[in-house]
Amino acid sequence: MKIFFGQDTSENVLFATREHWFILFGKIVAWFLFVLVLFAFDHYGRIYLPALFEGTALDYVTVIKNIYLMFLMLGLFMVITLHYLNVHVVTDKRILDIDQTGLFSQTLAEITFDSIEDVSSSVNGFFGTLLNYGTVEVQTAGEKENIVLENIPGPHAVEKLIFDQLGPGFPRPNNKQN
Amino acid sequence: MNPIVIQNFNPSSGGQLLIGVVFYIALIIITFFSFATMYVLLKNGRSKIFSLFASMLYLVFFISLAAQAINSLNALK
Repeated sequence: MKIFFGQDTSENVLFATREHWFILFGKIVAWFLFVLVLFAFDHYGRIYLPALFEGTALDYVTVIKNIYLMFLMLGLFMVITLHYLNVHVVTDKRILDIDQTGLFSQTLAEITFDSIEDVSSSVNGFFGTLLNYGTVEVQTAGEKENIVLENIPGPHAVEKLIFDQLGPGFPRPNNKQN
Repeated sequence: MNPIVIQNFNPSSGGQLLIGVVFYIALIIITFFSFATMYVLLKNGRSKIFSLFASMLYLVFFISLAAQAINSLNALK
């Protein structure tokens, strides 16, 4: 089954992932703060701006709140969509980084295993350590840009998977042997 | 059974006209980005079933909220 555009029929996908769920969770929490603004306005507005909650003014406020709510729902939909469309793929032939940076901008970076010079992984921060997500950087030999797989789950395992594909002849750091 | 009365937006003041214009500009922007997001999701999403499900779910919320918003605009006195 093909999971990305341009996949060869003989190409096997070894690993495909998105950013760690906690990153999406963080974005949804940030989105929720905007939802709280609505509740806070309803609660504190009645206390400090009572004129906005009576008569004709209330009708105008309701219209504005409805527009705000529609923007909120669109924001959530876009956050989930962009998270879903950011995919990192490791196949038995190459590494792909499909980045949907915006609605109308998608970047597809790929490198084949023969152009890889080094692979490194890092786990940073409290939540990264606790939930085991981090960054894998694949450095290339030529002028090609490096591929950085950010906030992916199990970065050390992905690094090992890439080293395994590079074969036993590829120089590994001592702590990455098997 | 009482018949359903659909109110039309008839601005009777400058304030109502202004909020009506702002409202429909906002609605056009939201509609454009909603359909653009659905298009991108359906075009680039790995699972078409998930993409379709998410789009339909969003569309239900979007249409409900838009109907509610238009109703509140029409109720302006």
